[in-house]
Amino acid sequence: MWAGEDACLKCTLCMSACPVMSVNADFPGPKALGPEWHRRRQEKDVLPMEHVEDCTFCQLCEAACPVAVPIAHLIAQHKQIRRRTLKIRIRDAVLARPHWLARTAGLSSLPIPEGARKLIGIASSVTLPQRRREPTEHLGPRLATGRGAVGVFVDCYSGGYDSELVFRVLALLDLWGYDARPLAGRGCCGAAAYAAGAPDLACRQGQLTWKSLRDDVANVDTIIILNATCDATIRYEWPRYCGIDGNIPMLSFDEVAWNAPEEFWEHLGSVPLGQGDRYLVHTTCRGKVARGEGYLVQLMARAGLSAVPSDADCCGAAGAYAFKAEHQATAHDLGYYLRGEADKVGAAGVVTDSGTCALHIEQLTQVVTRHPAHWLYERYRQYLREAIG
Amino acid sequence: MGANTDVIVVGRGPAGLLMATLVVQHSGTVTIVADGQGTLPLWGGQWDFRNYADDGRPLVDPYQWWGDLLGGELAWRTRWSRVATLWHELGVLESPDIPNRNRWILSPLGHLRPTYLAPRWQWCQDQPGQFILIGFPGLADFSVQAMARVYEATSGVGVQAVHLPTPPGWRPHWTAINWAWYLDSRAGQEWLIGEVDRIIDASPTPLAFPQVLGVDGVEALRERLMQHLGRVVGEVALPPPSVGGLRITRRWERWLKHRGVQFVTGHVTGVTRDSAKLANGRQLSGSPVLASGGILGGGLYAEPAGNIRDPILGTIVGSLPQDRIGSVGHRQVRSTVPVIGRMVGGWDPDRHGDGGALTLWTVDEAFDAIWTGLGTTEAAPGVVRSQSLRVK
Ligand SMILES: Cc1cc2nc3c(=O)[nH]c(=O)nc-3n(C[C@H](O)[C@H](O)[C@H](O)COP(=O)(O)OP(=O)(O)OC[C@H]3O[C@@H](n4cnc5c(N)ncnc54)[C@H](O)[C@@H]3O)c2cc1C
Ligand code: SF4
Ligand code: SF4
Repeated sequence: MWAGEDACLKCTLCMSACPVMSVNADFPGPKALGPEWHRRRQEKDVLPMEHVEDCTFCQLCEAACPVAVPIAHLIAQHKQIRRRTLKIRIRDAVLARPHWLARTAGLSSLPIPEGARKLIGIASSVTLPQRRREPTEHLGPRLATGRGAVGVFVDCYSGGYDSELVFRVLALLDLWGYDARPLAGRGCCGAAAYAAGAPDLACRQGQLTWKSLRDDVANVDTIIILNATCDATIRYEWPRYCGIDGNIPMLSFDEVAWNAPEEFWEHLGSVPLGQGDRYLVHTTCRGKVARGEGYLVQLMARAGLSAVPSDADCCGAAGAYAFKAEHQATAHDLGYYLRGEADKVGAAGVVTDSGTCALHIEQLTQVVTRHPAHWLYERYRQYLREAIG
Repeated sequence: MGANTDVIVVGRGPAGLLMATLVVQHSGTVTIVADGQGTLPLWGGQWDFRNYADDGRPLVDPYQWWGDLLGGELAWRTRWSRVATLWHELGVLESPDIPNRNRWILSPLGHLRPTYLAPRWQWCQDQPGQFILIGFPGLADFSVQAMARVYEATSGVGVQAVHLPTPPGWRPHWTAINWAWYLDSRAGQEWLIGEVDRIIDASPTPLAFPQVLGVDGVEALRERLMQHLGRVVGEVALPPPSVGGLRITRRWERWLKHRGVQFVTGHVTGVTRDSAKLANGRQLSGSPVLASGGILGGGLYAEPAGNIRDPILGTIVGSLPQDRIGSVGHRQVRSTVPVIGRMVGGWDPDRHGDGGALTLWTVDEAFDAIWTGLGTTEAAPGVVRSQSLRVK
């Protein structure tokens, strides 16, 4: 099947890397749930292990492994065979399709009372997504022209709950000289389904999304992805785990931002740094695994902001993980680490490039948590106010 | 972005991290690119100098053993004090002074074995003496009764062994890592202090724990135990997953990230003098240093004829007279790309206990090889960038 699936050396590096093990005493850990379970199932039918679902699918175990065992992906298969009640099956079927929720965002933004949450297995005290309404202003004259046509892949969360982020991204891209348009309604990359232990559904979703993206590629030079998890899924997971060799020219937002015209950075640099203008930067677990760490800090620093990297491995949001009642404690304990950091830094804001992570972090830190594009936009607005009046 | 730094370190094991540290301490910029974690979390946490002679006898004086090799005593003392200073900055409380000779730590089987530089949490003795071994439920690698027997038989000193009960929430699958995370929590710490107080006598006899006294909070817990129990407390490193190495890895990587070091995830498929190519097609520019290890993949391969083959490029990158294989490996490849750490062929750290020395020496040499005209002074804190450094 997959290369490396039976290569485990039992070195235990994955256990050292697993954030869930640090807060959840019941969790058997990546080695037991992934490669060891996989070896046992070669010989005989095996039952699922308890607490397999506590895995957040952060993939930090895979990033540590010296022999590239697809640990988290084996665990996703392991999750697939666990038995669940009808109630939980229905809940999970819905949460594994975030594009459905996005399309009915008006409805799913309605408050769900505690009793009803209990009934459908939703965490009692977690903030559920709310549609964000903020005006997006024009950013003034373009700083460059003719940089090509780009399409913005609107992820489920941004499409449903944070269309303002998309408008701000479009405003920035326009400022930088791109002809940009949103690629709305393109379906889901499959990240949520895979994380929840539905790999087959995830790959089917991926196939559909890939098909519609392929049509888009005819009209744009590059597709820009806003969400780090979608980025990791489309670029690294599709080819290896779903056989979708989607050879699409694709960049994440921060990569495009880094190439913004020099004038943009000069303008931002001219805005004086306010007292206590410090930002905590959280690179999502999936971002760390797919790409690494440091690029968002660098981007914020280039924008003239004082940016401090967060030491948290995984915030615990993990797509829909934090919304599920049985994961409430683990998700809370993972994310709460950022609370201490935000306090220590005296953070005016937290920067992270995933909507669900931002929601979770904001609830725990009580500090405004947004996508880097939001902060760049805000900073540029500040420049316009101060320089031009 | 992040694709252009002074130095690209391939590998994030101890050698890669140390190389990156030297570069940032000299105000250079560095990208670490790796496809795995590297071996540091598997270490017990002590840095070995040379523990055993060629015939397997434990060594007391590693300075004497190395003699004038690899720079002699002065160079070694400088290298070791660099590690000790770094540990201090990372928040690892190192041994008070750089030792003059090897010290004795306890193996999980109850043998005394030599090592050189160990953090204070490590159970260290200069000569055999009395202590109490604290047994933890379910830790198969720390069988206190057996350890006590072996210790008594080999050192002639009798030691006591006691057992802790299981705490609330304990699970049979718990390994050293689960214990350590539990003991980072307030509930775990209260439980431990209460239980240890209950099962030991009032004497000042030191206590030897397995290496599980917390991950990020070990110093604070150890201090509390010593205060509360009025005696010395130390830990015995266990086989992997070894918590000591994990503690250092976490602090060290954070330290580097807070100093602007870029971490890139990726598998390097080729390097030139000023770039590295990744399997996903990306290219990084900067002077590469190969720290891609050996024990878990990678490793310069020293052929019997003395050719040194690079496992990344698959090409012969140097040659050595057979009797020198190991001692000068990376100097030979200086004309291409510096090589550090376990990747340097010919050493046998698992047998000789000199992995720490191998790392220190090779990093030192490689750093020398790529940096010249260092106009800036050491260790500027914070993200300081300067393009004024010249790379040869
Ligand atoms: C279990 C164990 C315990 C040890 N304990 C101690 C101890 O307590 N004290 C001591 O002094 N020494 C100890 N050692 C020392 C050891 O022998 C070595 O000196 C040391 O581990 C080597 O580190 P390194 O940085 O050279 O390589 P490694 O730690 O192996 O790191 C290699 C790095 O390179 C990366 N890499 C490899 N190929 C590529 C590629 N093509 N592209 C991108 N990245 C790549 C890997 O992902 C990894 O990050 C221990 C070793 C082991 C295995
Ligand atoms: S890190 Fe990889 S090789 Fe090591 S125990 Fe985990 S799965 Fe096995
Ligand atoms: S994916 Fe994350 S939570 Fe799951 S086992 Fe791996 S490291 Fe742990």
